[in-house]
Amino acid sequence: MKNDELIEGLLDGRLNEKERKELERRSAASQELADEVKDLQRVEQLLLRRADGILGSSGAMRDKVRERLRDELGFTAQKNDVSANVQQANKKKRRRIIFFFIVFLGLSSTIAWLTLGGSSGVVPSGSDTADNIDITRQTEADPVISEHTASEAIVVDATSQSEDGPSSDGQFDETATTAPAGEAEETDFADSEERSQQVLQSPPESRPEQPGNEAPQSLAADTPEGMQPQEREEIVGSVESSDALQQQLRKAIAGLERTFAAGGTAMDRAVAAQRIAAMYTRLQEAEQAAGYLQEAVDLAREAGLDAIEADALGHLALNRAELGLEGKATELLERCIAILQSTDSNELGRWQMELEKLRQR
Amino acid sequence: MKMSDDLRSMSDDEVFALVRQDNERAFDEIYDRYEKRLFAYCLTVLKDREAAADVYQTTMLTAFNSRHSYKGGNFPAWFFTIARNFCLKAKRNVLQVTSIDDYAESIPNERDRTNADFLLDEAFSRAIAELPEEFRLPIEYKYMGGFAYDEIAEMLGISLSLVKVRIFRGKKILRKVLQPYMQELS
Repeated sequence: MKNDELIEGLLDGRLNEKERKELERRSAASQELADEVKDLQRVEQLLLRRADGILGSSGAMRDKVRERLRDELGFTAQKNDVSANVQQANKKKRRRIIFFFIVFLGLSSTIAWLTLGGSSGVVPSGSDTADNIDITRQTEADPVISEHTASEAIVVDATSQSEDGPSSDGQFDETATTAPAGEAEETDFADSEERSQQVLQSPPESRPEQPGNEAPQSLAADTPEGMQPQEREEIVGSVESSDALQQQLRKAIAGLERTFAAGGTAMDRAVAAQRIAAMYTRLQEAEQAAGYLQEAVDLAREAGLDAIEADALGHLALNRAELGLEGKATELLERCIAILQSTDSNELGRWQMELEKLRQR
Repeated sequence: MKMSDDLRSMSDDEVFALVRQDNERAFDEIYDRYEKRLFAYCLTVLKDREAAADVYQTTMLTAFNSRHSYKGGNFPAWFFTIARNFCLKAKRNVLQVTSIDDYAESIPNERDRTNADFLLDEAFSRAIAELPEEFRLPIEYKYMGGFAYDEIAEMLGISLSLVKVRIFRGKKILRKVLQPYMQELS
């Protein structure tokens, strides 16, 4: 197996023990490979965290859409619980068994009385009522049935029939109550032709479509723009409240400023300063942001952290440019670019482009 | 067996069949299965959170309100066809598209991030945005949408092996861009 295949398997969590050991062995023999594995694992973590963050922050909007749909579809709680349906069907079945068993007992007793005891005047118990028959012995194997005496079973059965109503032909409808939902639906799909009068849309070329399935366009909301503005506002606006965000940012800034003031390594403080600056930038407090960016530049330079210094210089340049200080911004960008050129960084192109834009102003 | 277990073991088609019978729990189940994937898909295609939220809700409302027009077979294909059509319409109408990374930056998760996370996240967002589309799309589908390799292959109309290659190469490009930061922060 090639190194790339092993690394890919490791990132996807698909490596078996033997393959994992093999990758470890190769990594131990090559620092370059070990670095690559470590870096790619970091990239993997960043990808996962980014997805979590973005999707997590859209939760409120998605919940609102769910609630709106719930209303539109007119759901009432648990009215169609599949399990409940199946359980209900099983219960009915058991009741029916008990009912027929009792009828059978009654008939047998009557026949026995007529053929044997009728003439001798023996009246068997249960011939005129089922109340005295305890069927628990016969039904011990079935815990549900064994809970009921025969009289209860008869009463319950009668009630359930009247509640549920008989089927149209007056018989117990076995299929309606016991067939798994999936099976019932199989046939339902087959006869849904008449429902496809919606405006149709051609399927995309890249996706195989089930014949007959057409993606509908919404009738009420033909395009996102066709939605009622108020509804849109209501849902989209809930994604993020700017007041709440501002409060959170200020809280975060306060915490970071305490950390920054408390000291630590130059690298920690430089990055903390950049973080604070980024938050002030979002709050549109440019001067506060500039102060921290300058701190970050100084700390990074002292510690010899080229990438961080260049990054802080670049952001400081953007900050100055926003305030109309083009001369200062140009100077800062040139310093940033000089650092990146000396380190052959991939960020070079980005800041060169910013410089170009600045010069074109 | 609980109802939720029953539903979880069912295929999308089976669950959606119950939705067509107005089964509330089935609705919740299918919504749970697709809500994140749909939003991720919209965000990936539109790169704009407001437009993505618009298309998200339009797609959901349309799909569920038109549930009877679905005849079974391939639920994800049907569902994402609706999403794709609305995305294309929205794309034509969105004049000024802001970056997906503006959205990432707006996430108020500052307290959970370390300083190193911060610097890497910032650089990472830029790096992702600058990835050529052939690498960015499969990566976004995999990580944002949680799609499996074969689903991505189907969505992009390329082979399964090519999807894997592009995702891995994309990660390598990201690594190269982030390397200076990772070195300094390690």
